[in-house]
Amino acid sequence: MKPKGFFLAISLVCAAPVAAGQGIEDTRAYANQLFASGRYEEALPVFQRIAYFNENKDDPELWLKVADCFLASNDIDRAREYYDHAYYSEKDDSSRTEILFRKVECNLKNLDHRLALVDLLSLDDTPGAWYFRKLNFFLGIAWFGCEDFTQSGLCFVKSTPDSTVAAEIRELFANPRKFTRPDPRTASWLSVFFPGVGQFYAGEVGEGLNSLLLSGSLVGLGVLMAYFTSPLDAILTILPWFQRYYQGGMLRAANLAKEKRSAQISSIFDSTLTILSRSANQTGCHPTD
Amino acid sequence: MTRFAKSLISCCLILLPANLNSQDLFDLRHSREFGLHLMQTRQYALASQEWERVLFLVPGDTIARLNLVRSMRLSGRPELAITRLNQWMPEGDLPHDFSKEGLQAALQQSDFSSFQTLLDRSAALSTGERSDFELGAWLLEGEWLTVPVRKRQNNAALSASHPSLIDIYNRSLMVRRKSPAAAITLSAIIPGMGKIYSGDWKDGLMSLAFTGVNAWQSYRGFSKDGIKSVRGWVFGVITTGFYAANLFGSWKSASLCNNGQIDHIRHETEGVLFSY
Repeated sequence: MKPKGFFLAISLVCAAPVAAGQGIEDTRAYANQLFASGRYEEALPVFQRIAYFNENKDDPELWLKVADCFLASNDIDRAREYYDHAYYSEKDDSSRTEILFRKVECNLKNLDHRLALVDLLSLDDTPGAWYFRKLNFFLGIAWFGCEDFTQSGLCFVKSTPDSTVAAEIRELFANPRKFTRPDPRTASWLSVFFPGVGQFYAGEVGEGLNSLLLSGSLVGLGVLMAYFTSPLDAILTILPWFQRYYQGGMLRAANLAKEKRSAQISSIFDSTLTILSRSANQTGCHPTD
Repeated sequence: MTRFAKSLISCCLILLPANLNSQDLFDLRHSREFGLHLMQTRQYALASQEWERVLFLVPGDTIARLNLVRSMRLSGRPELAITRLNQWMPEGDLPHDFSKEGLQAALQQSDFSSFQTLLDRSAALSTGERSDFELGAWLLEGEWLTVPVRKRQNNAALSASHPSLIDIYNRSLMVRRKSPAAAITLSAIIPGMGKIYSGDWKDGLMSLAFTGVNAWQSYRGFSKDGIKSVRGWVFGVITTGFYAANLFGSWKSASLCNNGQIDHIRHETEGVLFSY
């Protein structure tokens, strides 16, 4: 073989193994493919590897992908951390707002409504903003989670362009008593004065009758014992039983009222989302778009 | 093509591998670096995958083996850590760091049999370290509570070196076991006394009140109307029910008290040993 041919052959042999290596761009393409096909758990370590070795640490798209993968794996704390990285490395305002909304979704998913509010209230809520409906939709959820139902109702109304839907939502939130009744403390006090009445107030007739009959029977038994034996006998024998059921009745009335109220509030929330979803399906405009 | 151009192309092709290999994110150097990063950020499950890759590339890498075992243990798979350890080193003495990891993995899954086997192979540990592990295992096993206080001691404590472990050991010497048999006996004599003995005095007083009052009513009924007294029988049955429940409750109370004391010492010991 001639020297120059030999030299060329050697260089080709040296170059061949290079094809086996995976640079950042190849790795990124592979990670994007995994991400696109929904294989977030496999994509996550690949994206993290790229993020670690990437010389350019201001890569918002990469941070966003890592955050999305963590969110898909339900690792909310790390997802939040990487949404913050993406937010602070993003230069474009619209993209930053989108990232903020993703972080808000994270917080709402984790029931951190106050943290979600902190981010949402930092945004401009003028009606002309492109994200106005989306902002108010998330604000509605966050305020609802913080139990400020008046604010929540106002925000949900603003989140829809349809006046009919807005009227329906206003009607749902119109009566503030739906969010505050039955009051657990009232139920408890009612049962103090008359066993079973607290349960009736909470709407549980069966439980109320049960408490009334039980306490009433014990009182009746005590009266009979006092008549046929002595008051001391009645007090010593019946009082421990009565005390346990009486106190239990008070606590039960308060718990029933709390459960009833929570169920009502959940029902209003579900109805609101159903109305908004139905409207969105009809118009093709979702509040989260 | 001129001779110069061909030479230039050839030089570029020769130099190309050296340049591109530095960007190969899955090569040995990058995998090691990334593995360490994952361990620092406590992503131990991902770290163990990374160390597996390193070991695939370099099967005999001691540091990678150690990190793999450590990340397996810290990601909640101590049994895998011990399996790999035994695969690499089926017999003979273990190196110092491997000994510690193996012993921690065995204790993490409460496998005291494996622990003893690994301890016998841990000649590389210092006397103080060895005693620390022996003392820790003794505390974790929990059998010390069954030994009377005056006889309770562990010779490993004499040469143990970790001050926190020694402190836990000293406190364990003062823990008194509540005998379920004694609790039942006390409650048989005076209802509720067994629960008071176990420290549950509120429940004990309630048992005493309920059983006592109902027994008294039964007695009153029988003394007034004799064996045919309905009141006597009704309260008698109720009393029997409460008395039996009181005996069972006293046994349960003593057992729970003992378990609580063991768990408390165990959790403190785990906190010290697993961050050793």
